[in-house]
Amino acid sequence: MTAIRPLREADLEAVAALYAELDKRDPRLPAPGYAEFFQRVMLDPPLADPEIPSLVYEDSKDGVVGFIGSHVRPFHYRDKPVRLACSGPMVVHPDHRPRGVGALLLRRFISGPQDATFNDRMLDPVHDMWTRLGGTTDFTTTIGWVRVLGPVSVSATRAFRRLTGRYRIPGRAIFAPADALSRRRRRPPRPAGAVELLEGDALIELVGGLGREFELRPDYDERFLRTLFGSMESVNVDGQLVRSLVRDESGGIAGAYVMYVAPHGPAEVLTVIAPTANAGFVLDHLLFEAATRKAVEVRGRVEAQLFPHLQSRGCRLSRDYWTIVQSRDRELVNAVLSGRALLNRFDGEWWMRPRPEPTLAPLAVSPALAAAGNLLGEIPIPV
Amino acid sequence: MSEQNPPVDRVIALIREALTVEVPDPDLDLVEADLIDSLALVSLITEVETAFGVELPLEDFDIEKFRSARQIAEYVDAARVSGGAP
Repeated sequence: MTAIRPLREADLEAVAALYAELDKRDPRLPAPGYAEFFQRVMLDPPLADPEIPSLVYEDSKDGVVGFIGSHVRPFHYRDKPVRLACSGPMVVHPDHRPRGVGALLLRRFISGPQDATFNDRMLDPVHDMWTRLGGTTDFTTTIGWVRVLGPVSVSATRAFRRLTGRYRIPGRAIFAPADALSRRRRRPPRPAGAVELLEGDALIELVGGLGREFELRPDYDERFLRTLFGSMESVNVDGQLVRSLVRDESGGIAGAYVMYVAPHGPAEVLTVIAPTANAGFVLDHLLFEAATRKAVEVRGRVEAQLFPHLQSRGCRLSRDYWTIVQSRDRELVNAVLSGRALLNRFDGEWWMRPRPEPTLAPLAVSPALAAAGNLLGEIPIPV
Repeated sequence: MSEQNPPVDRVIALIREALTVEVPDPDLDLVEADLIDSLALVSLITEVETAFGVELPLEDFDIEKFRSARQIAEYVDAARVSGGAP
């Protein structure tokens, strides 16, 4: 007999062991930090919602053999509060995959009391599963964009990936001198206005003012954002978290962005939040800051308000992860498909990779880097 | 079998239609024979629910009782009787 039930604290070590394969670790070795991470993002308030819990699949013989994470976000649809549940990550022990454990977990999760379910980091097999369960693909956000800043580094990294299957090329800074010649031509210009560290209250103010353009939008509070950003700073993504508020020349809030930036590596954009009128201006700041922090390419996904501004800034389109949404309320699905929903990558599983080693301080709060940035005459790095 | 029990041949026809899979033997273990994987299972559950007007359970769906055409027919019958999980 088997059963699907809510994740409990006692399951966390078993879930960490299931992750071993995902992280290419030996499942018999301890994984310090994993259980604490799952506890924080999937069991504890304010990130967890006990009414829409993460789920495990328990086998009577082998114990916990499958897991699906739940990330519930308070949203507003027009003036109505709604709950969006993002699924993932989903992990199933290889021996139990042929038994349809993943499909049963997903089927149960989608049937929860949330108003809509979504996922924006799906590969083909899970996307096929969702589609058969009635999900609708949002093709716009399935398209990615790339802005190359260091062509030599990018070419070398791609060749390394093809040869080894690994994404992080060791000693990648050695390509910086070769990049420097072409970087001058490719470097985005310094935009007007200024950036500062994005704090929760400013993000809430920004999102609250976007109701006309985004009828489905997050309804964050400061405690939630503090916990969320703290968790995002502790994960094993290539790069460190950068969150910036962009002000226009008169000091008004123009927009914001959040990304992970790896010096001499990629900058992965999790969100660009701005009204359509400011989206290009905010994108300019994002590209400039990524270049200042020595990223060699910037990658994001196409959002409706960004699309008109990408080509003129040298961004190329590419295939990205699948995004899918499911709801009994067709209006919610249509809001997503028509670009009237503000969905951020940090609301889902995109960044959820537990870090086994000690946490590093985020770049955005490093005074030494801020001073270095100012000395070099770059944009002021927020401290 | 009760009168309401879906005949095994209807289940076999459904599997043929939904999964494009020929089931040579109603007692063939579809998982063991690699005819059912996660994707096929999702399709089959949905098709069975629609075709036989039942709601198969969410929490305690027992894959061990869903491995052959005959078992599926019995599972559906039990679900009908109990109004949920067999």
